[in-house]
Amino acid sequence: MTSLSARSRVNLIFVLGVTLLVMVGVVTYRTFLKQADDSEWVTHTYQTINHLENSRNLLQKMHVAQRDRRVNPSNTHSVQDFTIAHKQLEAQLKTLSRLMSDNASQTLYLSRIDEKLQGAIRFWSLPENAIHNLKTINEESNRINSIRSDIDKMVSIEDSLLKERQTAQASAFKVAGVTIVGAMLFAILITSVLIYLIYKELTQRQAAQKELSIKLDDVSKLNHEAAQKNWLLTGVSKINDSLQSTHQIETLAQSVIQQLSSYVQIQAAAFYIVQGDELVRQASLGLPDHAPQTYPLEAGLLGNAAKSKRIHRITNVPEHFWQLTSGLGASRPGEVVFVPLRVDGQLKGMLELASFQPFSEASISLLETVANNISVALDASLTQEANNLLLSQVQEQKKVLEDQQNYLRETNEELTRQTEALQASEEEMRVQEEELRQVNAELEERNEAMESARQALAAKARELEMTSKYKSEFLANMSHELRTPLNSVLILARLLADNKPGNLTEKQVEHARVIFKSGNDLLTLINDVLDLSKIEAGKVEVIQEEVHSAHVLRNMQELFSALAEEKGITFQTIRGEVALQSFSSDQQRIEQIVKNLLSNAFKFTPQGGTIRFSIDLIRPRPSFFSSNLSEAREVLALSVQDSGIGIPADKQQLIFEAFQQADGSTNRKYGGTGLGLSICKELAHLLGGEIRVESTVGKGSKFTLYLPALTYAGASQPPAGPASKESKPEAAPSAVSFPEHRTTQDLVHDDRDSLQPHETGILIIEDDAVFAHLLRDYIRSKGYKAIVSMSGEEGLYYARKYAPAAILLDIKLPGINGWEVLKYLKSDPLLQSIPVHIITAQDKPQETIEGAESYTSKTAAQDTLDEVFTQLTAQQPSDDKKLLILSENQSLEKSVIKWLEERGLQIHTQFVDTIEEASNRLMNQDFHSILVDSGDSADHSLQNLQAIQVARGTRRIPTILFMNQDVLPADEAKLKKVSDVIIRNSQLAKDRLLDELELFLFKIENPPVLPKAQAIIPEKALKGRKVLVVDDDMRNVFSLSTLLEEHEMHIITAGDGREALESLEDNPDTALVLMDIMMPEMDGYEAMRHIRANQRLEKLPIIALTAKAMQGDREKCIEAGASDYITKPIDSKQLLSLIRVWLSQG
Amino acid sequence: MNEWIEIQPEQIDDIVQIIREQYGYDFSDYSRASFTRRVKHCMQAAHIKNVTDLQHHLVNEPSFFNWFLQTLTVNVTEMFRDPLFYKALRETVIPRLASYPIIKIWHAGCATGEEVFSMAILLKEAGLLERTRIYATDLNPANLEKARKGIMPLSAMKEYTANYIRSGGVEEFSSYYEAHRDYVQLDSSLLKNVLFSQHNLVTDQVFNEFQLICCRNVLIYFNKILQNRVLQLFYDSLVPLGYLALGMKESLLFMDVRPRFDSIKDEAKIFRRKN
Repeated sequence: MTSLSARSRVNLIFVLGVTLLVMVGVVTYRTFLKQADDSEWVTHTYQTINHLENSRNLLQKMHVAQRDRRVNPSNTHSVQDFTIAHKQLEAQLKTLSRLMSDNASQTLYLSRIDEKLQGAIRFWSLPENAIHNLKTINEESNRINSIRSDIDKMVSIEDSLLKERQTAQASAFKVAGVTIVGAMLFAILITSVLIYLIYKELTQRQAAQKELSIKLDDVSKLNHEAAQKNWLLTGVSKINDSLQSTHQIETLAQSVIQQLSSYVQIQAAAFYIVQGDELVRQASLGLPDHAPQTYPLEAGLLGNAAKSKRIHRITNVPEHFWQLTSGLGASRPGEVVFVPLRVDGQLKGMLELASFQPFSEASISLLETVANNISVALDASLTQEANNLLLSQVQEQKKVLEDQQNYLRETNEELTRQTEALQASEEEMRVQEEELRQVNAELEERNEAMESARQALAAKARELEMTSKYKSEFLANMSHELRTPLNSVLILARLLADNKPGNLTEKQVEHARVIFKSGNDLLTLINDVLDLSKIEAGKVEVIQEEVHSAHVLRNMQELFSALAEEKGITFQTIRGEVALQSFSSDQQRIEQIVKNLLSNAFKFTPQGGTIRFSIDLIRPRPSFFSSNLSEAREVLALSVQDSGIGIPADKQQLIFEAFQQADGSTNRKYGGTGLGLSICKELAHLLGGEIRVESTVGKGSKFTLYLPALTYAGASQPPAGPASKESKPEAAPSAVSFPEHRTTQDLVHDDRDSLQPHETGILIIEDDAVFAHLLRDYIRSKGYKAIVSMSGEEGLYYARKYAPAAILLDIKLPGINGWEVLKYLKSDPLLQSIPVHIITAQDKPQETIEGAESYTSKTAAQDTLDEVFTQLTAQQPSDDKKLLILSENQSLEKSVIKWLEERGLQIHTQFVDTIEEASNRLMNQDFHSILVDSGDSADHSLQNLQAIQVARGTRRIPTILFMNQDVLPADEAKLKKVSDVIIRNSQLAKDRLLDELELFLFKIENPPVLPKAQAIIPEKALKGRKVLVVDDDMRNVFSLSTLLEEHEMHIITAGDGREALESLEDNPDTALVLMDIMMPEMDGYEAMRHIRANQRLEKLPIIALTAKAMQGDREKCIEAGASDYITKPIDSKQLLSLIRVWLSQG
Repeated sequence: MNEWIEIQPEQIDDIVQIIREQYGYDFSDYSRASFTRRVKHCMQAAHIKNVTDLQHHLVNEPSFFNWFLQTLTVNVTEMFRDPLFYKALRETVIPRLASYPIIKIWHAGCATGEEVFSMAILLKEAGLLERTRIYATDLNPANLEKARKGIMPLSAMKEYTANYIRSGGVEEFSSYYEAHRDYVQLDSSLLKNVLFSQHNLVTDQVFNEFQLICCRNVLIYFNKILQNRVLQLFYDSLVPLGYLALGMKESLLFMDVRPRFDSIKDEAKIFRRKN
């Protein structure tokens, strides 16, 4: 209970008291209720007993009534009484059963009574019992008595119940009384306890109040102390705040002084920090101007104060101490305080404060308190300053480092990239090296093969050399052996020819002359052979002697001047200005060579020509074969220049070979053994020099003997006598097997004089001048030149002289007839390849025309002749190339001719300036190439080219278009279709033109022959359908167009996707598209996508053409909208079947 | 990088087969030694230790294959590479190309396009760019993608400029590109007539007719069979008298097509189709 407060205790007791009172009340109330209940039960019992008594009476009544009825059956009252009594009894019994429903034993009795009553009523109702007799009376009495006894029993039970209940009622009264008294007593007790408790509480409170008033005094005292502390603390806090506001020493010092001055009454203040052994002022207030900035640590007031650990106060400020000054006056401070600022005993700074009044204790204590804080703050600031310094250094370094890192990273990246590149390069180098190694290995292999071949060759060469030597020796011997008998033949023939005895006929003399002449020829030949073999066999010795240039020249002049005069040739001997007076060589051999060259020159130079023999001194040329020459200081050049027929370039080397002349036919015309130059060559070689030839066909030749220019050192050997065999004047042409030409026709004017060296004409052998005339014109109309001869002999002569491209031969001729001419022609190896066409007035040839190409009756129409001519020219050797130039620009022809000459191309040009003329020529002649100049108007070019295409028909004549202006790709395509090459005028267009011409005319030996088109039966599925071919590769476009046009399909073309789309717009009836993939502007994929985007074209079959065969390419095409796909190179059968498939679907 | 990866020739065959069957690129006629080295290089770069892993990657990861292809093929290129070649081109070939009304040039194996850019500059300087179409093809789509952009590292420009000058260029080289922070953007007008397209020299066919074909430093990666096939392809793709330019270390020596080409400039490896 002690833990409960007084108030709680009172409350508790009060609650307890009230509770008890309530309980007493309840008990009392319950007691009253019990009493009422008990008395009710008593009443109930009385009622029951009352009813039971009534029942007994009623039963008695009934009994009486019955007896009356029996006694006096006539008495109706008895029956009435009985009925009333019976009814009342039943009512009583009912009331009883209701009242006794709570008592089982009584109810049982009651039901027995009821039962017995019913039995009695039944008994009474029986008729036998209506008779009043003893039996009945007894029976009746028994029954009634039994009921009565039951009622009695019930009454006695009820009586006993009554007694019980009355006893219970009495005891309840007693209990109620006791309870009420007890409760009263208890209530009095509680009230007393409450009063006591309240009283006790009151007294305690009075004592506490007294105590409180004493404590209040103490508290107010404490409050005062707290206020003082508060001031101090606020000061400290303010100063601390100011300390925290900054970390810079100067502002720190400034704010400390300001805070102090505002909080403590000071008039001047200074803040110093220790730097080395000095105190340096950082901030001040009210200090005189002259106050020094620094003080030594060890001296003065400040120094002394610095030594102490506590606040140093100076109250008696010395006289000389500085004064506090203001605008109004100056005064000595009343007190000066020095506050040392230490951290861990180490002096960090000083605070000097001055005031007029002495400092209060509180101020001092404030200063003491804050001194530490200021020290710490100062220290922190100092440290921070140092840190800042370090930090900025670090930051600087960091920046440098970062820069370096960046630089490094960049360098690194660059390095990585370079490494990658290097690695790739290295790979490339390795591969290149491998490639080179492989090539080298192959080279080596080939070199080895070549080396062994070379060795084999060398062995062969040695063998050959040996053989050659044996041969030469054999020949030398043979020649000698031959000469001996020949000499006798010659002498005898000469004797015979002289016919001194005069016994020979003229004819016989003539025969002998022929024998002599032929024998002489043979002797010359044998001499030559002998010479050559001697030289080759090394049997000729060279004598070094002094040779005078003038002598040589003079000798030659003497030797040949007569011949020159005879042949009407101008012969000059010239000594070059720098030529040596004399030199060391073998004069005989030199003269032999020069003579040979000169006699050749005279042989091949026609009347009126010029021959020049000169001796010059030249510088050695590196091209000399002989090292004697190329290494010599100077070289002698003895040249023989003529204006003869010249030697074609390809024959120039050949003529030095034995038995060779520029033309096999030359032999016949000019004679000679063909050994001369071979001998010269060998002799020149023997002399340490060489012979070179420069020649232009038709202009002449220049043979030069180059000798090393050696000065004659001395007559080591006497010069051999000039016992050289003079080469004989020209021997008669040997082996002329057909008649010499005697006459030259002049009836029909022909083109022989205008024939260029590279040109070939057509020879007409016809004695009928009118018909020859006709043929000549016809030949000219075909663009050829005609040579007309009117006899077989003349014809044969011309055939050899002009080597015509073809011969038109008449049979009936004066002198030898056509057949003989034909025989001659065919038996001569040089002439047998010339195609011969026979024209005769006879209807049928009398003999078989062996060797003639064709035969025509003179009456034949021109058509046949055309055909013949075509055949003839077709067989014509392809030396003569013809170029047709179509240009409005007159100067072009000249330029072209000039260019062709520069390049050395032998091309015959024909120039026309209208397309009509060009077509005309094309139809009548064959050309090897056509050059079309677009001129300034490119528009015409296409039409011109188309016209040319028509004119040339099926012939394949390469056509070159030369144009001056730019052209659009689409136009280029059109032009390309009708030309083979397009040349855009530019700096090097000339070169290209010549290259292309050269290619077309000389290099393409087998022009690509188009496979003969098989008879194509156009299919219904394809015929007339329109196909769009989209490709930028013109070759492909052409081949596809050609292929499809053969099937009578209608072709339109486009060069790229964009054009294709436009074309489809313009041609809605297009049935199928062939689409290339790789194209400029818009490629195939994109074009197909565009086409498919158009609803109208959604189902248009598109076959993609692609050069790509990689996996996935097909899918890409289909994805883009292609219906099908075919790879290049395109197989035409496959393409056609694809087209068939897709067209039949639509 | 010093790890030594051992690859058996049969394994290379397997790799070639996988690539051919799965991706359609046929490396079987590439120079075997070089191909093997490149495969090793790829494995090192991808940190793949054995061939089985490599095969697994190739079979299952198309993206890996793209990387592999890019790394496998050697893309060494620079602008005006071998300046003397470009000088020869400038002096000998380009003036002759001028005589064609429409000029078609094929750069086979153009890598990232630097040589195509160079060609475009030459043509521009000759006043021919407008009527020229350059077909630049490469095996590798990634290369083409790069080439189409016309972007090159800035750091390379110094060398390219020097090359340009050595090739006889007299214009302001920097006028052909625009410099950015670390890359340069080629003047897009130069690429107007350039068609970049994928073309596989091994499997693909002739697709047009050209006056000049440049295929520099590509053939060296092929074996002789393939070299012959590709040269035949070039021959078929050239017009008569058309030009073929090869790498400085390449030659037509011992090739089937040798007799059908004339050498125009031996030292620059420029050839010309005879007919």
